[in-house]
Amino acid sequence: MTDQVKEQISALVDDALPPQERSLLLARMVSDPALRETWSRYTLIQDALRNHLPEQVEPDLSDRVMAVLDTEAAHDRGAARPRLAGWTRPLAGLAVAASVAVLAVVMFQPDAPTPGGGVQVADAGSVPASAPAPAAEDYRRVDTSQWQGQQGTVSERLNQYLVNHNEFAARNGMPVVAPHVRIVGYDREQR
Amino acid sequence: MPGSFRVPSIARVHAARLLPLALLATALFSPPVAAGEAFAWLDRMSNAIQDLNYRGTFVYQHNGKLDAMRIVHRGGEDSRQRLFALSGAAREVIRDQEGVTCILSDSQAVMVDRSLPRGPFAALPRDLEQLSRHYRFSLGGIGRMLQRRSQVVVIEPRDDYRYGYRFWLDSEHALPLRSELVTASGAALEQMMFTRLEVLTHIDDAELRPELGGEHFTRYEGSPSAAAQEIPADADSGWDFAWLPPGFELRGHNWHGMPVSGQKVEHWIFGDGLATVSVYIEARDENTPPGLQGLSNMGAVNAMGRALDDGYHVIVVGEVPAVTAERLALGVRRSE
Repeated sequence: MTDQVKEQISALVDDALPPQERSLLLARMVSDPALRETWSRYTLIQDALRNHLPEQVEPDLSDRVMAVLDTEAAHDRGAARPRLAGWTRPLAGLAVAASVAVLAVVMFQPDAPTPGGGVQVADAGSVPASAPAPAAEDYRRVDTSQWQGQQGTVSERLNQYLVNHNEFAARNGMPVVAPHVRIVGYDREQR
Repeated sequence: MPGSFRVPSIARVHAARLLPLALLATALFSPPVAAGEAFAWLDRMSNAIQDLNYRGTFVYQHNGKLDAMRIVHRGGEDSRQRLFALSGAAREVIRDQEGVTCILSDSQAVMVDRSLPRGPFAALPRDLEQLSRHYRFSLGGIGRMLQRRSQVVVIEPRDDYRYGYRFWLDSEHALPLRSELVTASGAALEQMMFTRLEVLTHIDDAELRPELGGEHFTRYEGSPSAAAQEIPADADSGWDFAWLPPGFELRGHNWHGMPVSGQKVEHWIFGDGLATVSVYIEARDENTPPGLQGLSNMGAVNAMGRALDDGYHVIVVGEVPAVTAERLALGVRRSE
């Protein structure tokens, strides 16, 4: 995804995109899950910053965005609608301000620039540095950023080990608030 | 003005110009703040995480993605924790004295792991002198998060076999308002930040009950005998570990019962006091589903699997760099 498209999404949620560009972007978002994902992430950042995250389990935001976009696209095919706020605000509680999304990126950057770059909010980031190539061995290297490169049965078994390991690690190593944060958070990658 | 000292105007100008330089020089050349003070903060944090009652909302950033979650935690003897997703697929994890229950709405499954260490979530006491051989502890600045004063604590690894940490600790309770997992070169891999946090005197049971689940969910919880069975330290299991990262020691050894199949798997826990790695060795037959071959990872957690002699398979998993999981797995051998 180019920076220009990200800026457009930012402007879209900021209700600052010219009507013609808005229609084109909405049409692209209907068929492009990556654009919808970026939109929902910007929304989440905004909600987190303004402490407007929901109190209860939230249905998949991406699905809701899709549903709204379907409606919006149908509407757009009829008559032009100048305002975006009508659907943006009820959906996420707030319209996303581009400046706030940028602020979140800055906030999440490491304090000092480091080789290999920091963590990016807007793009799928790179995985941690991998080990040097091993000597000839009886296994193959799996090039994946999550368990997703594995078959379902392998992933499922790894998750069972991870849950178990997390509890032993929490008692034997660095104390953490939420040892199972990855089990709750890595849904899309695992499927 | 009696009793007061007035700086001549030119001197004031110079002082204003020189002050930043003076502060910079102080910052550069003053000795590092004692590691002991940072370590004491870490100790406070450890106790706060386990003992306090709290509920909060946080965002968790990993691999360029951002998830929002809510946590409710009851500390002390009757410790119990509920963690659930506010974005993405609806998922919940409940931790209590009996085990860990994972409720995954996207796979319509409930998985219960009872093969765990017993008792409250208390962590082992740590030894600063020993840890200092492998990490540098220091205090960062004072910041503000969630309108609270926070103390930054920095833990840097001295080699590439373990990660480092940065914490922003609430100065009153020492709970981590923000935390980062970082590489040896200082790059942040994962971050977690509270957007709301309340410390409470009491948490109702109702707040700790799961909302997800139901009859249509498939439940996996192994058999009652699946609970972890400790293996005595002097027992010979028939496996050797040719390589461990410097400072890693055996911290536990047990038979682990897999929650889905009930299969018994031999489990070793190695760690340096902060970083922890698990080694699972499973006996395989024609009915066993395929195991991990090679390296894989979920964010900062790395796993390495490989086949061993006589139909055995080893899985190494932990919040450590890939090279650590890989070298450890490659070093597993049958005892001579």
